[in-house]
Amino acid sequence: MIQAADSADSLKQAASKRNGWLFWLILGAVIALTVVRTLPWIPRVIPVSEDDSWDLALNLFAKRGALSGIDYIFTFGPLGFIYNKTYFPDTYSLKLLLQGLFCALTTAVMVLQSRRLLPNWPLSMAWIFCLVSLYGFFGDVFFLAIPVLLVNQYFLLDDREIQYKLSIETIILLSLLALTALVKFTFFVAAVWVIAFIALDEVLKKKLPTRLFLFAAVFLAGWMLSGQPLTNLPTYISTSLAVASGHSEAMSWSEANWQWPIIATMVSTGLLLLGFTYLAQKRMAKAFPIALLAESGLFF
Amino acid sequence: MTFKAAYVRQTLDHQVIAPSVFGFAALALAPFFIETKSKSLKAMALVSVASMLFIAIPANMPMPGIPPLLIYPTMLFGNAYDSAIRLPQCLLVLQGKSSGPEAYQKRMEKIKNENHLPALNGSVDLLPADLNVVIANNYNYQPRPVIQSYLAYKESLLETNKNYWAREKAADYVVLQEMKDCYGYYPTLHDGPSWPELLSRYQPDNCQSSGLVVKKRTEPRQLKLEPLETIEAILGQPIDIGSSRAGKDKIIFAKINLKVTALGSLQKLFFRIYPADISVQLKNGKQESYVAPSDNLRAGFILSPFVATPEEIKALYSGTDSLHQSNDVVTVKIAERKNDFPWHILSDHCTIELFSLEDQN
Repeated sequence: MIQAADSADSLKQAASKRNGWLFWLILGAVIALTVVRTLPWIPRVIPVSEDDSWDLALNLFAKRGALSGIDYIFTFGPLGFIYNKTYFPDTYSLKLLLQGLFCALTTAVMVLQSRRLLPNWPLSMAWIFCLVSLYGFFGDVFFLAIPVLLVNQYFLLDDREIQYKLSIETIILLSLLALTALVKFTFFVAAVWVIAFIALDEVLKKKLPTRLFLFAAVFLAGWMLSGQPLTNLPTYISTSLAVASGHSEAMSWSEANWQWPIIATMVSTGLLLLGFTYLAQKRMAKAFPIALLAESGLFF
Repeated sequence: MTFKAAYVRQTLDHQVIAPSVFGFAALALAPFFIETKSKSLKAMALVSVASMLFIAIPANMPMPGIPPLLIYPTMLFGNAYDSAIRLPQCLLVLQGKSSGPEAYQKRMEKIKNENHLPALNGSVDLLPADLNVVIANNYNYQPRPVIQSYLAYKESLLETNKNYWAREKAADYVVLQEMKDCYGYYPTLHDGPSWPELLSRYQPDNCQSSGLVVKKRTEPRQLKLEPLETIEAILGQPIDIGSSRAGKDKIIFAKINLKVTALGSLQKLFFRIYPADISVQLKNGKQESYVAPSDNLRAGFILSPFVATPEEIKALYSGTDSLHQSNDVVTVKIAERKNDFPWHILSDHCTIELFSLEDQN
């Protein structure tokens, strides 16, 4: 018992020591390195194995301020042009700026979470280094990292006693989540899924769903700032749903031995969800299925 | 969401999505597990993270020449290596000296040289999918709503595109390239219901191997779909459609209604089903086999004559005898292509409605 208390005290002391200039130095350095590692400084101009001309077209539409769901129907939204590393003369600077914003803020959340969760900076650095190896690897991870971190932040990390208070990490993640929803329709679905369960949790606690309001406000502001009339939003959603619903037949493809990658992923994910269930149950007691649904929806 | 994004189209490019997102999620949870006091939970968490990084990632992202257990460590090393490699490029970009503009220009020139097309004075759209050609040629791009034909795979989307051609803003020119892409649809299933509209409202202007350019007519041709017959067909059996033409050279438009079984619908909802296979036997003896999504079949398409290249499409516009003599479809066969599980996803029977596309002028 005494040992446990000592250990907790030392963790607190370590954390408080990590609040000074060293924190800011490390935060700046980690953000700078991740931005260098992740952004398309060497833009993609060569063709890929499958057609990539839609990617250039999305950049052209962004330049023209074309209307999503009206002028063009595709699986991407008004910020779809920032999804890839493709070079397009008129949007490259804006793409760098927006990807830089996403990258810097997401990395800042990783640093903030590590400060609360891990006992020292070397361990924190090692953790962030491992995360960034996957984070910068593919467009989908770059954006889906946000709901993943948000589920952990809201359900497992934010103060349960005064949960009504928004943490800075949650504010950042909610704002990024809303902007992510404007990039690709799959991300929109993922974002709505996560925010719905967060709002449900707030409502069950008889609180105003503040996080839902913040998400909606940023989403609508982003929609309008990207030149999309509010009246077009239902059309964008309905046409994107049509695209999403046909995908499971028309685009299907597999090669020999398709089973092994899926089985390996499902078994690993199943174990991960079991672990998550334990953490959520320990923290939220009977309300843990809300967290589990939020997390598992991102996976399946 | 992530699961379907990764595994519906299970190529190396796509399946990588799942383990990279799930691997990130596993690593993001790792510190929470470190905090717990339960040794069994810690052990399970360790197994979960390790299986994600050292089994699931290598299973989905094989790297030639690298043993599976070293793939994630290689990515970690690549992380540091990439940062070092990118730093000089980053500094160049910040100084306004990116290599992007020059490389982009070179690629656009290459696309242009590989796709000889005339200068066009007016707005331009392109079928089926290679939008790079429009951009490389600096055309005034005015796309139909579903910008690439392979993505118009629901009846509502096909209808939206079909209705677009009658609108004022529809492109002045349409470049009809060879009707093929990596998805392997039957050529005229690309925006199938739009073809009668394109034949009616546009006329050939210029034909090159890289595309037939059709120009908007001032007055559309009056084309009408006249019902020929309805056939109750059995999947996997060839259907003779030669008799429907009564010895005449006609453009045959077909609507084929396939029924997905209950198991097939469930499978589609949670995983994937493969589109049907369409095989045709032509008058010239050739056999062709393609992919045919059920909504595209139901919405309708030109079944005969078989046209794919710009030259064949030009012949379709002019109605030349030689096209009908060689490319008219004699028999058509619809079949289930394959399934990942030991049950059928399509009912045995389907209905084929045949129409002839008649010029009313």
